[in-house]
Amino acid sequence: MGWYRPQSVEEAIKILEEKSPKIVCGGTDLFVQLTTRQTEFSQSDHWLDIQNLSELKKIERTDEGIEVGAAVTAAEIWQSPVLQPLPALQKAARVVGGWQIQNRASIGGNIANASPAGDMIVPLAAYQARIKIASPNGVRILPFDEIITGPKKTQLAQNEMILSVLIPKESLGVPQTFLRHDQRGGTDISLVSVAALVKGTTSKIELAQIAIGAAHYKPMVLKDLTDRLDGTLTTDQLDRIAEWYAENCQPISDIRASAEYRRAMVKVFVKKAITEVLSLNESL
Amino acid sequence: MTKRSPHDPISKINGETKYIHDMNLPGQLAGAILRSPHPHARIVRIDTTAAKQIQGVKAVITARDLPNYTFGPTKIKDWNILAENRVLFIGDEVAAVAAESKEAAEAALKAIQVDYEVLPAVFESEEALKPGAPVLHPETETNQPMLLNVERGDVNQAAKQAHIVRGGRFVINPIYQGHLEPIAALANWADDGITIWAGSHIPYRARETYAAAFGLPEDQVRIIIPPIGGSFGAKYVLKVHLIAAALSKAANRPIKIVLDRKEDMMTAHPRVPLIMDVQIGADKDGNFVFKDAVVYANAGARVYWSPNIVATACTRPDSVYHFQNIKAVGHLCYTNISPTTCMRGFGNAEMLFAVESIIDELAEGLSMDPAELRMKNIVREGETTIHGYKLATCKLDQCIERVKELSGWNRRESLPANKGLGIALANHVSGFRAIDPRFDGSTATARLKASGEIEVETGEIDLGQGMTQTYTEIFKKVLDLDGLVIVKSGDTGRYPFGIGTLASRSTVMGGNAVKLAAEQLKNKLLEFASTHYHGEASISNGRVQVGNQIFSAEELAIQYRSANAGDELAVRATYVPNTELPDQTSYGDPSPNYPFAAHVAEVEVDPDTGKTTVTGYWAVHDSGIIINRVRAKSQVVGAVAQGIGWVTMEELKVKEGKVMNPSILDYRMPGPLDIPPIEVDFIEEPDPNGPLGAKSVGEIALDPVPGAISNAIKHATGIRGYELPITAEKMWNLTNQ
Repeated sequence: MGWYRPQSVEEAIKILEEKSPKIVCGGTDLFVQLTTRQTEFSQSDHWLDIQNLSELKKIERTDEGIEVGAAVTAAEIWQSPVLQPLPALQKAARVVGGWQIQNRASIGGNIANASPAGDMIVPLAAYQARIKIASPNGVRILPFDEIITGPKKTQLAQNEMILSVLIPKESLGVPQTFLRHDQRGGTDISLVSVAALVKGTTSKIELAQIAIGAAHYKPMVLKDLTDRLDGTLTTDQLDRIAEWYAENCQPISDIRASAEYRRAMVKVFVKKAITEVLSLNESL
Repeated sequence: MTKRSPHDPISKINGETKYIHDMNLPGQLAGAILRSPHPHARIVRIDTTAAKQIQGVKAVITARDLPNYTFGPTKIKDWNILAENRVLFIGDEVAAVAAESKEAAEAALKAIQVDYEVLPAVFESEEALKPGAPVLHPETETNQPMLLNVERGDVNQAAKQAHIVRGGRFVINPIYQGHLEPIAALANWADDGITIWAGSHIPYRARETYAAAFGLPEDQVRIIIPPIGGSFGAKYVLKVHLIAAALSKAANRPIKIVLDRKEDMMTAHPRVPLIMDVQIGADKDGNFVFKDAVVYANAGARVYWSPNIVATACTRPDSVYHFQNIKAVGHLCYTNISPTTCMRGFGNAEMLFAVESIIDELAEGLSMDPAELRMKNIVREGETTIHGYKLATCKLDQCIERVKELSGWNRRESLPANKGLGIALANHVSGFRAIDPRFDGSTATARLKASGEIEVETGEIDLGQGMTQTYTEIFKKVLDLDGLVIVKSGDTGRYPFGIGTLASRSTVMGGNAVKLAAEQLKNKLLEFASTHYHGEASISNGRVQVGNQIFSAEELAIQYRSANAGDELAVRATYVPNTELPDQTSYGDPSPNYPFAAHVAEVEVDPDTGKTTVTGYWAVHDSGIIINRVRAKSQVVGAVAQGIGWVTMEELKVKEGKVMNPSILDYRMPGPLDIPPIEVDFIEEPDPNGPLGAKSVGEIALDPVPGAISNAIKHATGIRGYELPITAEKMWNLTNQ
């Protein structure tokens, strides 16, 4: 077993190529699985710890939006002034685990871990963010929607690592929220979550993007929602959106909730979130 | 600088307290246990050859290497050390290994080959009683190790005449005690006997049980109890302790076994799951006329403490109200789940959940205020209850009045939508005569050390609740000298005999013994000072005064020793309570006194999600005179938090005998955000049988919580939850049915 702590992305990529390590960036889920013996790790596994790479710790405003480095932690996200125009992401970061978890859990880890119950990935889906990925072959950029391919599965190759998340400027400052249904008041895992961005009023909708979490193998987004709404958002339409999400998601039954209950909660929370964001618009 | 008391809680906060996990003996090996993967199976073959060959492995044992005595902690003797022919639950102990490292021990477990023939299993108590159900213990063909019948008056007749009857089937699911410190044992088998370091809070019963298991005289088993990091009933007598001792004998080295949280939870001995069919009737004025209860208790595969829980559930709440005619049938049933045992509340909290729920239904049926209906039917001071409890003190009426006032009960009818207020009452005991039919009470010694400090020894055990501080304070109220009072306990080889910390008995039983010891030491000390210095002696400002002379405790200790060949001034006092052992019909006065409480919960239930939030909580207790307000309040606050978990989220989910959520991640307990402000008050009147007038507080603090919260949920939603926990999803299902 080896534990590698590279000093640069370049070095990290070299180790990726040579040692085929597992990437760790916080380890808040990875190592819990280790101690609860859900996943068997072998003694010969190599680990690549990228949490301290300064190149991956940046939060930067760019011409296209905001770029958040893969190793930025949940605590850094909700405390960042640069990210204030993205309150849904900040809210999601603030409910991830507890304080100790937030100090370690990284946004890149949240994506690569691809847990269906992940929190920060839900607003990223709603933002239609893009993911910047590096490998020995260079850098590629992937739409968020394409990266997660199954529960705990991504299309990242063994020699690839996430560098950053690119959040488009269209999402910045748009009234938005993140809501989570869980079993207790804090330090919990989501039963169902929703991130919603809505710009406008019920009679004049300019933008509507909604993603739901923990109710599908990955955050689920109804594409072209803004176009489908045709400029308005009546009570009827609101019901139909909520229904649509409930009908199309494929939640599982597990120890925390049944699929039936999750589906019902998708409907409840999509409506709650949109209603909340509409009222934010009114107070603008 | 004043010396810090060893009982100062700061030691725990700073991490200085040494638990078993922190202890190591020279030459110690790591122990590990191979457990059954099947709920019921015949063991066809065990092959340990490969395991023994693993480097670092010093012993591998199976039942064949062990004595085979009939033993168990209660009168039902159905225990073994390791399974011989059959395994009875997932987690049942099959073999054990001792090795130089945990890794080697783990590897050895994997190398043990066991062939099983899987047998049909039964998981539900009522199923277990049906003819043809798989039999767990051949000597108990019915799967029913205990059947309890209690009847007073004529329930059938009363039921016919009742104006209104309410009731239903109430279900208590298994819940995990949630002790912070894991289950652990350290054992050393030597020529002169076994020493076990373990967190048992009934160590003398454990000693008796373990001596029987190995066929040893009791004085060859010594149990030392390091600080206990919580138990709530989980750590009475455990097979892990026995297995550690057996391994130590086999390896001829000390053995340490610490269960991790997963193993602890997979094999946990949770609160006994109960199914309770309960009915209560009243006349048209709201006077209760009968209570009828049938209880099915799931003991799991072996009897730990479940019979006592059944007995408590079948009787204790009958001494809160005048039901006039009562009947209870308690079925204890063997099933193929991990053995179940006690948890704070001990059957009383469970049955009170049913009783308090039904009383609210009666109030609704009678169009009466639930608090008023209760007030009409409660027991009162000076009465002897239907089962013979003599209530020297009972301020339950005042508790109800006060909790109504604190909670603003009058706003109940004008609450906003989805909000509700619920009330519930409770009683408990301060020790229970029938724990050990042979004797009751407690013994303490007190000794004036050469340093002037006083050392008190007791047979009772501090399990984290601060019992030792309580004893220090009781002692100082009687004999207040400068210098520390240090309480020592937790070693069956050194300290006086004690029945143990259970049945909320430590403050009253042990406290009375400590008080007697303090009185005796005071008398002896004053007598000595008076004789030695020729004058009348008295105590003032922490010192002893004789005439114009003032002596410190240390000075007197030196004088006493010089006059007594170096011996220290010491006393030994035994408190024997004036209790009566309940007879065959469960009639008797089993406790020196009885605490009471009235609680009110305020909840808000989200109609969309079914989620209950407890938004306010008020608890008023009659626990006699409160010895330490901070600790007494902490007991109540902790119990309310535990109750909130019990009612709204906690459940060990067991599917076909397998625990599906064996981690703190998946077994949800409440956190700070789930706990509302809790207002606690005490009606303080001295009880003649309590030390300094005190009654117990530990368990009664939890007893009313399930009833209060579920009544508040019913008030908020119109929907009654009959099965705990009433999770958001369950509530949503009830709403959308």
